[in-house]
Order: sequence, then structure tokens, then C-alpha cells
Amino acid sequence: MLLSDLYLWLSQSRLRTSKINRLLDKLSPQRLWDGFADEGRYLLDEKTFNALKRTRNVDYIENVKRYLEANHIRYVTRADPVYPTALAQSEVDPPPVLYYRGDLDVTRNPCLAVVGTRRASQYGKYFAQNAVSELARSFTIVSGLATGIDGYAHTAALSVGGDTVAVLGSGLFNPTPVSNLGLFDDICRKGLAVSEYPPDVHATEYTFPERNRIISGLCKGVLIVEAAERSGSLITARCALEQGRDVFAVPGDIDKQRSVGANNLLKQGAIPVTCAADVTEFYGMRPPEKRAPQTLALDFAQEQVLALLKDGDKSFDGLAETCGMTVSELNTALSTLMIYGLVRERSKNLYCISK
Amino acid sequence: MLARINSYALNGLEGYGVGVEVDIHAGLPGFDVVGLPDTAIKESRERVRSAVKNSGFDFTPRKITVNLAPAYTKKEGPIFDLAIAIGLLASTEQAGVDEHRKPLPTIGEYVFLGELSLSGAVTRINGVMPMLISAREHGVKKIVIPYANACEAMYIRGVEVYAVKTLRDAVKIINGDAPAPIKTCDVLPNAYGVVAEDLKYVKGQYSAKRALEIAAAGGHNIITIGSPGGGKTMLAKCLPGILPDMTESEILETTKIHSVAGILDERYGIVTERPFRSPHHTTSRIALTGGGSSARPGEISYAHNGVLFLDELPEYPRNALEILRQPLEDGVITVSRAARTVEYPANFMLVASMNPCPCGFYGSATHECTCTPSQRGKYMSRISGPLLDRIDLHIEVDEVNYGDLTSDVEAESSADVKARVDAARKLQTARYAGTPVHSNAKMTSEMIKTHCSLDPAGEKIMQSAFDKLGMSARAYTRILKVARTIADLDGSASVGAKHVAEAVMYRSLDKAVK
Repeated sequence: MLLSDLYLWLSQSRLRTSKINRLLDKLSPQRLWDGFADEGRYLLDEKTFNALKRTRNVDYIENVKRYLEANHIRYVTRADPVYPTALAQSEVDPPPVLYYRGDLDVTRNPCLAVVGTRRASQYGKYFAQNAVSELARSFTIVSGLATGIDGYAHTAALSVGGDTVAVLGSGLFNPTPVSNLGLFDDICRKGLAVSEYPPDVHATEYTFPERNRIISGLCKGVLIVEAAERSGSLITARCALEQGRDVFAVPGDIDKQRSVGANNLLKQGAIPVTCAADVTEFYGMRPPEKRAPQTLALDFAQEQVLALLKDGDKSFDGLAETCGMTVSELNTALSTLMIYGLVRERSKNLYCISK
Repeated sequence: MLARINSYALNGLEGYGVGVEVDIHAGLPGFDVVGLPDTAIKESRERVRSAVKNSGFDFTPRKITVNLAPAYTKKEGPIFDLAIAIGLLASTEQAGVDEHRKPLPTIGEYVFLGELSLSGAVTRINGVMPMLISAREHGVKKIVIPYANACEAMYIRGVEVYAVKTLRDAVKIINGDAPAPIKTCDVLPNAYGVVAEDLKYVKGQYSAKRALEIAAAGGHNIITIGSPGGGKTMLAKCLPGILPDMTESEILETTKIHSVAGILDERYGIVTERPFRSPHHTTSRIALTGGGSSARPGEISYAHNGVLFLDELPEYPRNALEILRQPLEDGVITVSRAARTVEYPANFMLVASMNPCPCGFYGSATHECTCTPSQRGKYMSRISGPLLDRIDLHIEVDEVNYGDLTSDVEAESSADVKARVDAARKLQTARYAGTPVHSNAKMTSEMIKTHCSLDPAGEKIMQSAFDKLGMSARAYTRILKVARTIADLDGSASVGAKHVAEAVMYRSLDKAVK
């Protein structure tokens, strides 16, 4: 029996990874297989014994391998040298097998996890889209394929041709949420989708917190963009601390529910991040080169609107009352500035200069 | 003796002649109506009996048979009461006979329309205006209608209309003692003043007001999206005040529909301002499009040449919204039922409003939205892409702050805006002369090509807008149409970069989709 097949056996038994690892502390996989009938019976409780016994069959393991291949799912076990090294430490509770689609090599580059609330605000969306598209030039962006910040982070990384890794809380046949299925397919083609669960496992409320340790485990650091007081992202942050990863957080409004978690992290000593360079400089990397700002010929009205917005964010009505232009002129100027990318709509009907 | 009286009935908006034949013959006393009458007509026996008696005529029990010819069409409503009563009186030789009891020839010259009350008074009926117009086309010269419908008849030339208050008045007419027919007069738009909110009382909301102006000028469909209390409904109610005046043919078309539906204002008898219909979101599909066994017109036809305002658009049943698609494109709706098929005009401007999410505060700067993304997606998906595709302008309306509410700054009044709208419409009327198109919103693809060609600067800004703001392809022609209207408001012959740039601002839903 190959060592990798033994790990596959353990994974296919569907026991929890923590349980398998506790077992492996006592016995090597080979000994567990060989001495299953006598030694195992004394060592294991009945449930575990039955689970392992059900799949302890050479033909079964071979069938599983054929099944995975037929469905274009590859796997890597702890016995393989390509198993991501960052995961292999005991704090992470490394899964015996990782099932994946895509290119496993992207995990060899420096990885950064970007996670946050599913109910992202315009602010979180803006940060995720802008900062992540810059960070993706230096890092592989790891996240959890959830809606909100996770989804924006994946999309932003893909949009600039960067690498991205989605760590699923379910088997690869059942990615959730349904609204991100298109994104999942993109990631499988251009990045990496990975799961510790056999492909046909469905997500449960326990699997998501469990996979968070893999998100942080794969990375050098974890960036929390927006998180409420009780948020799954905070679990990722906690895992990161336990695993000795760096925790970054984006400060948010103090009066918004969805920023409480991130702000608390900052109070506890997380590294504040307001732009992509904060992260790259922390790791002593050269910040990605900024494109030279385009020089645009602005007309008088556009200059005037820009000048007004420099004093602070303004609503359309606020601009209309102070700029002294007709509504139609203001509309034209504002629209042109937005098309040029000099102004953006921060939240509904609130305009500001975009950096 | 047999008497034959002329009357009229309606099939949709078209009238057709009905002969009311009354015969008295030997047999057990009875009163039968044949010729596919509905319940209201069968009941007319009782009304006619009392009306005849209470008008001082004799109603001795006899065997009476009334036939409504042609017998194969289904007749509805109480409009034959007057004709049946006159026929009864004529066949019993109480009216329409000379001193030798010979029938007078006058009786065949008139068409009688009217419902009777038990007292013998002639009361108001629906559908007088379309029946008059059809009767005139069929060569009818003299028509007797209820006095309460007189104001509808004032605008119809080329036919003598006599308004009667009681059965006795009608009898006088066939006895050769006719009063002067109703005087006709001209149709004037907004003759009775527009009852609408004035834009000058809308505080702030400059962008939305500008969008309304553009919508009114080009006849564009518009949707306002915003948090509760932002004034979406108030803005929509301002719209009638800035819409261009109705033309004479538009007035008659709309009045015909309102007359059939019985929703005409009795005092005026005519629709001189653009209708503003706002059916509630519990409205059924049939009520919106028209139908029922008698294929009546629905709300979208009532809104012909005017505004159909659907407040809280996602709350309407999906099937009710989807049927708006074809009328929005063609301007007519064909209502087919087993008994009849009727085509009603339904050339309306769709004005809709909705919240950005179920709780109403998505994207708001002051409130936090409590909806999940899936709830929001579900809410938005209640409005289908094809329907949204037919809406040219999307505007976001924000909550008004206190300072704006209390400010004394007098905003522009509706009259000023209307002057600009009228000027822009005049340009469009000249441009589309000789085509069935009246406004920019209804431009065909070919017209877009000839009238909306962009200069290089405009082309460039359109290109950047698509790249930067993630516009969808379907937004392209919409933006061109709106840009054309903005150029018209500007008095410009060509569509330039600034017009395109402004038009891009009104596609917020396209941006949101990304």
C-alpha cells in the first residue's frame, strides 16, 4: 500500500480531520492499516472503527481514484512533496488529502487571505475591488468563495490576471453559494479551488468554520476587510493568530455594525491597512508600480466640480446648490469625471474623489 | 302592430347599429326580450314598464315581444331602455303617429340611446362618444342621448344630437316637436386646468427633476429607485404638469376609451389633459390589460396618451408585469375572448418606482441595509430583464435632508419646465413628420442610425463609459435615444459628447447589475 493511498483511505472515511490527526499522533498510517483488526479495535471507539472499516478495502481505494480522475478532480496527500508546505504544520491541523481543481502551484507564491462579511457595504466592495486588484500583482489571493467581500476579492484578482485560491467549505461538486457558481468555474480554470472534503460532501454549518483554518494556513497573512462583531472572518483571524500568521484589518466607520469586528481586531493589535502598499511594505516587497496618472484635459465645469469635491463628499443636490451650473451641465461634468475615473459614487448619491 | 326603433351598441371602441323591434300580438300577457340580451337588458322590462306608466302613458297588459337585431351579437347594458320604451309606445300607437293613427316617418330617422329610471327620467350611459363617432361614419344624422351625456356630444360635428331628460321629451321629438340640437364646440387641451403637483414644491432632487424633464420631452419610460420617503411618488405626480399638450386627435382617442369604460368626468365629458393612471399593486392582470367576457379596456388603455404609474413595481404580480411588454412596444393591446376580439390603443408612458431592496435602504448613506444579498437578488429579479430593457431612464432618488425641506429657495415651476418640453417635442414632431413615430422613445433602429449618429468625441465617451462603468449592450440604444432627447432639449441638431455623458448618468440599474 502506498502512503498516499493510505491517506486517501483516511480521508474517504469522512472522519473529521482533527480526529484523524489525533489518531496519527499515536500510529503511523501504515500501522493503522496493517494492525487494524487487532490493535485498532482496542484503540478506536466503535464509530471511528466502523467508519474506517467500511473504506478499508484496496478495491474501494482504487475505485475512488478512478472516480476522481473521471471527474477531473485531482488530489494531493500529505505524503506528496507538492502538498502546500504552509499547511503542513501541526497548528493548522493539516488535512490528510486536499482535493482540488486548477493549478496547485499558485500556492507556492506568497499568499494573502482576503476575507470579510457577506453583507458588504459599498465601502467594503470598493476596498476589495481596488486594493485587491493591486495586491494580486504581488500575492496569490486566498478566500472562501462566499458572497460579499470573498467574492469581490476573487473577482478582483481574476480581473487583473492574478492568482486566486478558493477554499471551499464543501466538496468540489457542491460549491456554495449558487450565485457564485460562475465565479467558481472561472477560478477552476484560472486559479485553484481546493477542499479538504471528498467531492460529494455537502456544506454544513460546521464545515465553514473548519475550512477557515486552511484559508489562514495557506497564507502569510490575513486581511479582514469588513467584519461584524460575530463573524466567520474573525474565526479566520483567530486561526491566523494561532498559526502565527499576520493579521491585517481595514478600519471602518465606528457606528456601523459591519465594521465592529474589524475595528476590534485593530484595537487588539492587528495591522491597520488603508491601501495595498501597507501590506506589501510590511513584507518588504516592492509596492506594485502604479500606472502613471493620465493627464486629462478637463474643461472649466469639470475642474470646478473636482474642486468642490476636494472639500469633502457631496450629494448631487449639494453640488447643484453650490456649483452655480445648470443641472444639465453638472450632470454632464459629473458623468464625464466618473467615466474618466476621477470621481466615484461612494454610496448612493454621494460623490467623492477617487484616489 | 310592429315598431322598429334604431339604437346603437358597442363592440370594443366601434359602434354598430341595433334595430329594436317591438311587436304586440295576441296571447297571454307577457314581456319578452330576445336577441342575446344580458341580465341588464332583461331587467329593462321592469324599468320600461314603470317608466311608461309613470310618464303618464298607458301600459295595459299585453303580449309584448322585443327583438334586438342583429340577433347573433351579445348585447349588454341598459342603453336600449329608451329605444324599447319608444318602440312600445309606437307599437301601441301612443307616440309617433299622426291624428289618423298613421305612423310618422320621423321615427326611423332617429337613433335612441339611454337608460330609463322607474320615474321615466333618462339617465346617463357609458360609451356615448365612440357610438356617436361610429354612427356619424355610418351616415346617421340624428341621435337622441341622455341629457347627462350632453357634454360628450358637444365635440362631435356632422351629426345632430338631441339631449333628453325624460321619456316624455323623447316622445315629443318623434312626434315632430324636436328642440334645437346640441351646439358643438372646439376641443381645447387643458381646458379645465391640469390637476397635478407642481415641481416647484419638490425640494432638492435636482437630478431626478431633470430626468423627469427628459422623460416628458422624449416620451421615455422611467423608473425611480430610492429609499422610502424620498419623494418618488411626489415626483411622478408632477409629471402630468410638464407633459406636452394633447393634440385634438389624442383627446378624442383617449375620451373614447374613457367613455366606454365609464370613467369620464361628468362635468366635462371629455379628457383634455393627459391621463395619469396609478393602479394599485393588488390589481389583477385583467384589470391592467383589459378583458373579461365583454373584453373591456384595462388600465393601460385608460392611460392611452398619458402616464401609467406603477408604484412599488416589484410588488406587482410577475404575470401582470410581463404582459406590459408587448403594449410597451406596439402601443396597442389586443384583447381576445371567446365572444369577441377587440384592439384597444395603449400608447402610454410607463413610470415606475421601486425600493433598492426589501428593507429599502440598500446603498443609503444614513441607514444600514438589513437585507441579505440573496433577498436583494430575489427582489430585483421580480422585474424581468425584458421589461427593464424597455425602460430608458433609471434614476436614484435619495432621502431629502432637513435643510432642503425647509429651504426657501424657490425651485423652477412646472410651467417653465413644460415650455422647454414643448419646444423639444416640436423638434421631434418636425423630425418624425410622415412616420407613425411621435417621440424619441419610439424611434426604430433605422431612425436611431440616422438621427443619433455620434461625433468622434461622443463615440469616445460612449466607449469609455462602457469600459469604465460596465454597461450592458442593451444600454447602448437606450443611451442613444436619451442622448437624442437631451440634445433636443439643448436645441442641438447633432448628438455630442456632453449629451451622451449626461445620458449615461441615468442608467443606474445597468451599473448596479455589475
